[in-house]
Amino acid sequence: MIRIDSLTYFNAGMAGMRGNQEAIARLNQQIASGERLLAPKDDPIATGKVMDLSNRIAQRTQYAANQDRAEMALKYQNVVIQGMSAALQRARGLLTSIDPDHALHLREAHAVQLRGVFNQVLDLANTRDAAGNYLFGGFVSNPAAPPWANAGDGGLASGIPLVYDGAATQYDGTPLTPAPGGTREIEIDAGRRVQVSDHLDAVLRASAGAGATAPAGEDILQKLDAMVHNLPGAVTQADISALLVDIEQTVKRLERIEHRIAGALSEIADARATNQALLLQDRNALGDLRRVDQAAAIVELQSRQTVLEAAGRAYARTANLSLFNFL
Amino acid sequence: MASGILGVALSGLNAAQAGIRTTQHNIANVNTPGYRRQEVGYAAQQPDLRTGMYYGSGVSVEAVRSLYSRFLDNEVALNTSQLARHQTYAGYAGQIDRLLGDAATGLSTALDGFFAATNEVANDPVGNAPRQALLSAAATLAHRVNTLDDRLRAQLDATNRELVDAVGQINVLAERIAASNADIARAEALSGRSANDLRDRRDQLIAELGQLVDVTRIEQDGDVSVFIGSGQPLVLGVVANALATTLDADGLRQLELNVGGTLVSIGSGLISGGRLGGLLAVREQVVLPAFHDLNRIAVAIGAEVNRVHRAGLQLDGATPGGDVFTGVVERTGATSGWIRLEFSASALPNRDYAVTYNGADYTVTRLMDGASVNVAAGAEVVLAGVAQGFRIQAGTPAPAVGETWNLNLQDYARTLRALLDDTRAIAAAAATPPTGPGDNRNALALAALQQQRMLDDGGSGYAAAYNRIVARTAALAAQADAGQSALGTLVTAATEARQSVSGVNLDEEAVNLIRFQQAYQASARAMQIAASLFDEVLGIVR
Repeated sequence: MIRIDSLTYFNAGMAGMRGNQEAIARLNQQIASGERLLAPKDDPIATGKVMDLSNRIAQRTQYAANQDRAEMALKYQNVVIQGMSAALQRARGLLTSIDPDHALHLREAHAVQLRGVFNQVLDLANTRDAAGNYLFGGFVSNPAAPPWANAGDGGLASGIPLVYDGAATQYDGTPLTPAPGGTREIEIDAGRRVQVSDHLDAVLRASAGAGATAPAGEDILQKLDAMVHNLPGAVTQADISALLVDIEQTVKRLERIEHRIAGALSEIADARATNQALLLQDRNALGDLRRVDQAAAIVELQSRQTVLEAAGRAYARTANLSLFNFL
Repeated sequence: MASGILGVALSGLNAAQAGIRTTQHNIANVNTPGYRRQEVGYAAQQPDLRTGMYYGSGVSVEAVRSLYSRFLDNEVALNTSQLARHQTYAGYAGQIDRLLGDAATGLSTALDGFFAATNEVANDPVGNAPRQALLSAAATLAHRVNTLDDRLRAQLDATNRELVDAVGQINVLAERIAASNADIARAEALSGRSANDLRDRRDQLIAELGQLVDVTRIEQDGDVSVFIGSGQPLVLGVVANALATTLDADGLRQLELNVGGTLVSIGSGLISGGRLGGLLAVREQVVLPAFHDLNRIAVAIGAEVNRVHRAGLQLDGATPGGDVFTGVVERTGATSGWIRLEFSASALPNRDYAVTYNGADYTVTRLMDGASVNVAAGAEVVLAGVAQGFRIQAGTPAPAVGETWNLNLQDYARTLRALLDDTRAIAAAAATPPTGPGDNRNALALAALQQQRMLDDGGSGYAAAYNRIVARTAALAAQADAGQSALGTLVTAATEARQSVSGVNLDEEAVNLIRFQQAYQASARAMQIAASLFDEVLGIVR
């Protein structure tokens, strides 16, 4: 028989009560927050995984945002490119129905219609995105300087090079070096980027020279403009035929862009599907690691409460037992 | 014979009184820490030899003994000392665990935020909003690093303060133990008996000392000497040696013992128990590593983000990017070339360095002590046999002979600031043509840093390196918690075992009280009878 001293006797119930109280406080916190891990030390191994998963989820969420962004940009651009194609097709229709021998008023009527087409293509080439930046501005995105300059009242003087407006300046006032070309990419997954912008320099111009200012009269807009101006005057069948060939080639180039966009969109769709599946998986794994099992927690809470109550009662009953009470 | 009768009864009365007094003493001290219950040792007195017979001559009080077991006392002392160590350790480790792991204070969310912002700038390089968001995210990241650094420094300060505090308490206890030794020697020389209560008090003082620092006690001729560390004497008989602390080069308090005027340094590895042991261990294993690793990650962030950003062009499409964060590598003099840091798996000491390029090698000098070494590009910098945790590579533009740089690594986590305050100064564009404000290639390169493994010899990126600190701290904190609860159980068990020998049981004392009371009453009765016997004899004479 072990001898028990009075202090131990009185304190014996304390440890049990304290332990249960601590457990109840913890369970309460877990149930209230829904979190199983109240501090990393509660489960160091799970914590390591939770942190890695959280980082991955943050990255994947960003990739998802990037994908949306890229898709939006590409779809918007696609609409513009298609519009441009359609306009050029209309120009072709108009041109095929023109004959240099037609009467002046007929040629003028055609010229007016062709002017409409020209304006449409020019507007599309200078389309701005929601933020006000030129869609086909390449790396120069200055709202003050349309990438395809249109001088005067819509009448584009022949011979004016259609490149960046030389008046564009840096924020400190120094002139901007014209930098044609340059296409933007967006990261849609780790190490996976898609091109989300195109530079029409290579599309609307016959010579796809990047970086250099093309000689006058080489891009399709200028050629259309020249046709509009010359149609009432002297236009030969050869001029019309040449323009038709140019339009044909431009439409083909636009088509290539459309194809590229379609490819990029399907690549985004593919990346998105993978990303979402992984994101879901990571979120589930994170949830499993972090979320408290409410049912189990509540059951444990109940049993802890019962034990605490029992311990309290046992203490109250036995604490006042003393031989001195009977002397 | 008659005086004998009275004498026997008187000895019984005295003995019962001694018993009652000791019982009262036990009851009175039921709550006194360190008190050991006492009992009276009785023995029959030397018998009288009369008419060839031995007649008993009553009882004598031989001794008042305290009841204890040295073995059980040691068990309690040992476990209590270790419990105090684990409690202190767990306290600090738990705080740092929460600090690092919490989403609101940890680095993870700020890092994720910064790289999300770089992505958004890449998505819309000319937009002002994403650029503004990136500036805020950079400031948040810098601020978060500063805050973490500040909190970890606060923990180091707290360990410093607590060390000084514990050392003060240790010295007070050592003085009292030495004084106790003197008191006991005097008292016991006077009586020739064991001074129970004084000894109890001394043992209690040693037990309290054990909660502060693990001690070895050696008892000799009634004196108890107390040793700490690897046998350094804290108390030698009636002499107490003063423990002191001194600040080292890193601002950390280290222990020193003044032994007869000579200061003996006590390495932190030698103290393994008590609050002091816990403090030194948690500082060594949890606080300092977290502090140094945070600095290392901050340095890697500053160095790489700045390097990538400098390679780009600002919104004007012409001005090269500047430093996003406080410079880690800083060009000195007329230097125009850059060097690039690579980080090995070794710890990065909290020191500043100067670097000079001599055309073939780099001379790296530690500013604190002037120690220097020549290293080839890509070779780990090693000073006095200690790897410094980084390598040097040529940057862009490449270094020229004689060019010099400073490496501002010391306290970088504290000095780290986000320097850009103009959205146009963000260098999202690459410097290679074609380029312009709408170019996002450099922003993509910045965003790609999130995936890059620039730490631990290419083993981990920022997030992984940070997660490792959290996981390591969590493991140590959990271990300390487990140790704390295990030792709590051990202390309870050992204390119960010791108390079963030394503790006062009031019911038992009640029984003793009745026993001695009845013995007293019986002796008094015996005395009354002896007195009545005298009366009888006197009656005859009368």
